[in-house]
Amino acid sequence: MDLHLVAAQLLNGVALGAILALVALGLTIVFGLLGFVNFAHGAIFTSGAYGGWVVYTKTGSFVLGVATALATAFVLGIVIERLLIRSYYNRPPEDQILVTFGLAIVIVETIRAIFTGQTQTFETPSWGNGVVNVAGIFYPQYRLEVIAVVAVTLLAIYLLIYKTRIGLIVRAGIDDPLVVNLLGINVRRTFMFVFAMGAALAGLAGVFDSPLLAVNPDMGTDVLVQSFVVIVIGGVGSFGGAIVGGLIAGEIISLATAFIPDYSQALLYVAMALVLILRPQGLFGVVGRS
Amino acid sequence: MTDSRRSFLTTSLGAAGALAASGFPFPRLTLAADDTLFIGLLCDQTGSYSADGGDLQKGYELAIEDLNAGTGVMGKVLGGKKGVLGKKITYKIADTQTKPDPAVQRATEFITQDKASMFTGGVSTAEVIAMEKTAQQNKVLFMTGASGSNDTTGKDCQRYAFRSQCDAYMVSKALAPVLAAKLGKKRRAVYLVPDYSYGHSLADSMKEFTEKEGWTTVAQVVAPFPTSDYSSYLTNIANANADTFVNIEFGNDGVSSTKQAAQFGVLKKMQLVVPNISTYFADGVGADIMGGVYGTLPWSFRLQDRYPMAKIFVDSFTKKYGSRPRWTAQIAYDQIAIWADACYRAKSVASADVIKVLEEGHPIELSLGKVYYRAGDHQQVRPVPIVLGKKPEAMQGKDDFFEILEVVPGESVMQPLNLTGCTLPPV
Amino acid sequence: MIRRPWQLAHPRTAFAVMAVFLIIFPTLMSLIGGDVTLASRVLILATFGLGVDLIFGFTGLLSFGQAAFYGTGGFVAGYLMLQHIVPNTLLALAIGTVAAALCGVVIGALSLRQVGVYFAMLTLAFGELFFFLENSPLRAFTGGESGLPGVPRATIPLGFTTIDCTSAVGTYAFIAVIYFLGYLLMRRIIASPFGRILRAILENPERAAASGHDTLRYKLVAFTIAAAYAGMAGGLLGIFQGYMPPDAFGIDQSGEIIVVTVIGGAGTLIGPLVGAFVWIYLQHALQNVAVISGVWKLILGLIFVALITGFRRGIVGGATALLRARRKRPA
Repeated sequence: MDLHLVAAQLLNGVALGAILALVALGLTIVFGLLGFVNFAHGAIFTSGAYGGWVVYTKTGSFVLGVATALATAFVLGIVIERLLIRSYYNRPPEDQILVTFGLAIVIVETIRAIFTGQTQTFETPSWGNGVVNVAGIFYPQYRLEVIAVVAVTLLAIYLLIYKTRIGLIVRAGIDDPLVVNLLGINVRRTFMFVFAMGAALAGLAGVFDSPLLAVNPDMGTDVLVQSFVVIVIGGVGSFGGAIVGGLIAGEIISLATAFIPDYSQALLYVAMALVLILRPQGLFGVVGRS
Repeated sequence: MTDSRRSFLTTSLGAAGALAASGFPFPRLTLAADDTLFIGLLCDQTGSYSADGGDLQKGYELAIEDLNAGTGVMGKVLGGKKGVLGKKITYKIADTQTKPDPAVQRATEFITQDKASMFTGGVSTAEVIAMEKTAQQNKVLFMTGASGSNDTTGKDCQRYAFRSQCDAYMVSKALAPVLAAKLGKKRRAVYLVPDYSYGHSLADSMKEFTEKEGWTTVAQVVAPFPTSDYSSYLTNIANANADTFVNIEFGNDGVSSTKQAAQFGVLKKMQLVVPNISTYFADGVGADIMGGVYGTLPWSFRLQDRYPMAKIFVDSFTKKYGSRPRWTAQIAYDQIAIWADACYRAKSVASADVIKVLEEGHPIELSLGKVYYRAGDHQQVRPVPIVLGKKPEAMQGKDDFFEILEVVPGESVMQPLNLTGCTLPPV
Repeated sequence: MIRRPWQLAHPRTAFAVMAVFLIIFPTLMSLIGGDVTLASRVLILATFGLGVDLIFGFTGLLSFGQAAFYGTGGFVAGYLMLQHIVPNTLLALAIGTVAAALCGVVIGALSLRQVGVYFAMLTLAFGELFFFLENSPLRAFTGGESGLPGVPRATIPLGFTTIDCTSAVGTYAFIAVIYFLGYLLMRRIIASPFGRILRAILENPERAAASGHDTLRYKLVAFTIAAAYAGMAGGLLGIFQGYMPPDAFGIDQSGEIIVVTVIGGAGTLIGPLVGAFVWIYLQHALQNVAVISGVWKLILGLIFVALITGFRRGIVGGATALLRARRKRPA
């Protein structure tokens, strides 16, 4: 057994896991807090990627690209929530799945109509170029930077939800909408904010993930499936779950590639199925939440 | 008006409105004119191989234009005659999405609805093999687009299909000795292989011929086709104790995997070899990476110095499109030329007659010199150009990525018929 | 979604109308710029959709992995015919259907304990797993990325003679007969006591369980039946195209059949037929029009969202509601 290879794959698993966690975060927030499954999560991811790509290639500024991605996704989230999702909170989960699934088609096909189905290149930003020597393992600098980005984002979201007044309102509004309403706080606006935040996170993941992926209208499908795997393993609605789920998924892919490369993709689905069958609430989820 | 009726009406009116606004082509019955022939073109306009597909499409359109007007290479080959046997060529282009199923569906439509005399195209071997079978089942001639797997004229060969690109065996047999001469005989190679017929075929052939020269194959890392994130595979490769990285990936996958390989430091440690370089590979990875890379190109515009027809082709292509052709365009153009020539020889466009003529193997002078089809497996006998990537300073023009080291004659590298595994079904 | 089961028309009218429709369908298609091959394609999707409608429209189970059974049936039947192991078309199709049904039992047993989103995600995971299996480990049988080209067209040996269904029209007739029988059978299933319990589960799962029915077992049987229909449809696809594509296993295929069923109208049984017609015809009509060739999916996506939001019964439901309102017949 080549220890060096195992170490390298372990590191790769962490980097992959960070990306997966970032992508799944938006989904788990919406699912956990609103009890709403957003099958359009991958499509919003794609919108963020394209928004960022357009601005980045035009201006050369990655920061502007990120800002655009966030804005695009956030606005998209608000629009979707106000026009459509709002009327679905009390409808059965199948309807929620179907409408977001349909939205995903609409969003993806619109992107395809505007940008064609060609794959676009998203260059790694200049501060991401280069190889870092991590204890004898050579690893792309950009991927390590993404780990940092994910960590910062997770911290920011955590602080927002658990340490601010807005976060308090959000959590209270979800636990007991009636009381919160009686207190004069607009619960509907809270829900909209949460949904838009989930969307913004998807867009953020989209723009940061683009240098590593092929940017095309269908890039969101794999992302959506992987996000499901992560939140299933980690547990729905749990922050820790998204992180742990992401890391586990990342390590499954990496280590499997090291030892049984032919089956690395399949293992992920097997893991997901196993968790759903044996412990549906995942590692950190709470039974009874949706 | 009841709620349900209202919502139904609004929905349907909305849908109808959308359709009308979009210029919905409410279909008319059209009858095929008797003085035209229809060719079906299957090009990868989207998907991993879309760049090559775009080049393919340009080649086809130029070919048909030249064919109908009697100009360009077509004019030279056919002696200025316009059209095929007095008939004008019409065509439609279908997007295969780099997937076999849309390719088969659209090809079948071309055959059953448009009454195609011939159909051609495809860039991935998966599509091409599927379309070969479609051709055989419907008994309509299929001239392949790009396809590099041995299986296309090997175990999946068909009587109604003819393949012009050099197969994996030819590429490897031609490339390996050059690699050994330039890079040495004791190298240790690690492969990145896309997990389908073409990938395995080329990897196996390269392994066979490089090992004959003394190389060791350290590992073959297989990745799903298509893949966008190669990190876990490249981690394996980076740690593989090898000095040569053989990248079998093609199209967008080839570009992504190579760029990511650079990010993982693989290209610093290892010499890159790309046995079959896809048409926009160099543009995608950039000349900094491409410089010093060994590989083959089924054709390059630089061959215009060697073959007069290539010069005519490059000139007419550049005139029409403003840029020089790549090798999928050359395949496209030449396949149509060979077909047209065979139709004239057979004095018929019926697939069975044309096949008989093609199997007779008359050499025809095109952009690769004289080429012809081998009757036993329908593989074209044609040269294999070995190339070396130019360093950015040496480039004379923004698409001048390669210098041609050697052009290996086709006869010397053809796979012996009894090894191909091909048994052609009857006409 | 559909929380009130839909009233089906009188059986004899329905069968007669369906039979007549199936006979004139190819001609209808030709009149509007299609042809008999498009009609065949519509019926294949409609057969697939009969099963999906059973579990979704009548039992309320939203599965995103039906393509697993579609592909299994298709590849098993296709492989057997291609390799001349079972040259008899009907027998090969039957074996493919059974194989798909077996997969349905296994996946259903594992998945049906979950409901709602978890069930959907579980079926999604299994669907992806099957796609992966087709592509890699089982490549020797399935042709991997290339699929299985060369599946023979249908023939029915009757001992004393063979009915040749190899032409385009013959293939259509073969598929149409199978669809018709499938439709008949499905109507019987829906109208039976078993079907009534399924609809009870759809309407109010807790009440159904409280009435003493083992809802899990009923769901499993329904799921298996749906898998069988999917498998049969997959087999028909292979015969029709002369090629079994790996896409048959893909998530896009699972999504497509759901969209088709909903657009046509879930819980109506002929919904998938109507939805398949709209889907395939629109794609065909627009694909050669340069600027908007990709837009057909966008249009259908918008219609899909509109239908789920405002009008849940799809096109069939809408049309019937209009008819009813006009005749002022009690529902």
